[in-house]
Amino acid sequence: MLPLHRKFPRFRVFAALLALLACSAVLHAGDAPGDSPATTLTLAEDPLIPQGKGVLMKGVADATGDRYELPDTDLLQPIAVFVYTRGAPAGAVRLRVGKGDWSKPSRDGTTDASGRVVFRFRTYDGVKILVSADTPTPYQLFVWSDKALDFQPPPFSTPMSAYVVGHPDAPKTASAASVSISALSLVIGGVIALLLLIVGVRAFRHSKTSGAKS
Amino acid sequence: MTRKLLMLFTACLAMPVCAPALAGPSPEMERFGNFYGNPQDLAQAANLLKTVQAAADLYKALTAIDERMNPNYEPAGAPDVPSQCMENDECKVCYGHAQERLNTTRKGLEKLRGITLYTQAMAKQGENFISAVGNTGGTVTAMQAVATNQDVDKTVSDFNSAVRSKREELLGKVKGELQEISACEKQFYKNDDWYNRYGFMYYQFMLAQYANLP
Repeated sequence: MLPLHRKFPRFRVFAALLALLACSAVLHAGDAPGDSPATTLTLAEDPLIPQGKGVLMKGVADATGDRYELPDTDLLQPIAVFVYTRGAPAGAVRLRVGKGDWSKPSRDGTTDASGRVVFRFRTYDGVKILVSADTPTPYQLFVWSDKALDFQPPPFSTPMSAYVVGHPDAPKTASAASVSISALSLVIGGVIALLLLIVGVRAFRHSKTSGAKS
Repeated sequence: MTRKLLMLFTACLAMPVCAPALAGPSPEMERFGNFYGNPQDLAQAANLLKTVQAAADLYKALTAIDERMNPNYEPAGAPDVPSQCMENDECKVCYGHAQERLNTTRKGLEKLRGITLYTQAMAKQGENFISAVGNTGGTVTAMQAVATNQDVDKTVSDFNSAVRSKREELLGKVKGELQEISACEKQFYKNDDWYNRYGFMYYQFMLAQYANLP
């Protein structure tokens, strides 16, 4: 009896395709949700978004889930991720946001009664998004971001007038210190000069009276 | 035939072409005009933020590492540095330029701290993962894991060297900018001693603050 691939020459091709399909099905049958290939999101400006950049995606969420990736984000860049479902009552769509470990997403929520779920955050080095649902549910994903927030450091110094309140012993400045020293010496000098004047006047009067007596 | 099957199996491993096809249609980009909600909602969704503080309150760090990477411009133990130029309109211009440059350097140092923290955490995570994979795969895999970890160590070492060089550069700038502020205090208040009395103290604090960078 001839082998099948000799009997039917095209059987080899068919067998190969079947093997590929079976192999793929076996390999991916046990995949956890979110193991589908990720769609890289590219944000762009649009007249309908007055500030920042955004992207709107549409899909049908199912148990496997749709994965998205927003690469190269800055820590100070605000990012908002929205999922909208249409129609009432819409099936609940679950939105997870994180770094790729879907057993421990950083944010996890499902659409509310209005068919919307939103997460706002900042993160460094990209973020991954997973949209899934128990039953196939159409959804829209809106991802928005703006330029990095410009956090200004507070002044490193304190105004001198405020500083001296907390540090009464502190000289205001070197010049201020020297001014106060010269004022002190002026006072001392004045007192000495006054004393010398008094002594001088007394001595003069004394010599005058003793001269008159003699 | 065996070789062909092997190739097919490899192709199957490399390209999971069948799984997405079975999972349903892939998500695709949508025009903003087709948004489920009112297009004006997009602006509202984007949440146009008037102040940096309002944005910071709404957009929090996503992960624990992001939280630790957040810039901290008011570290504990920062010295109280007085300045007369801060409250004098004439001197303010001179002081303002130097202060602006110093703030840019402070931002740079905090960014450097954050990126270093992130890179070191990722490298550690990667090494642990490689070691774990190596331990499950027998002697050859374990040896490969050791070799890969050595490559990672080399890369981290190169990174640390770049960080050290950048830190030295930025701390050198801090010193220069404090001396510029000192020059302003000298010019307007005849205070020759500002850097030695206050600027040097702040510089020493900054050296200690970033001493833990590799």
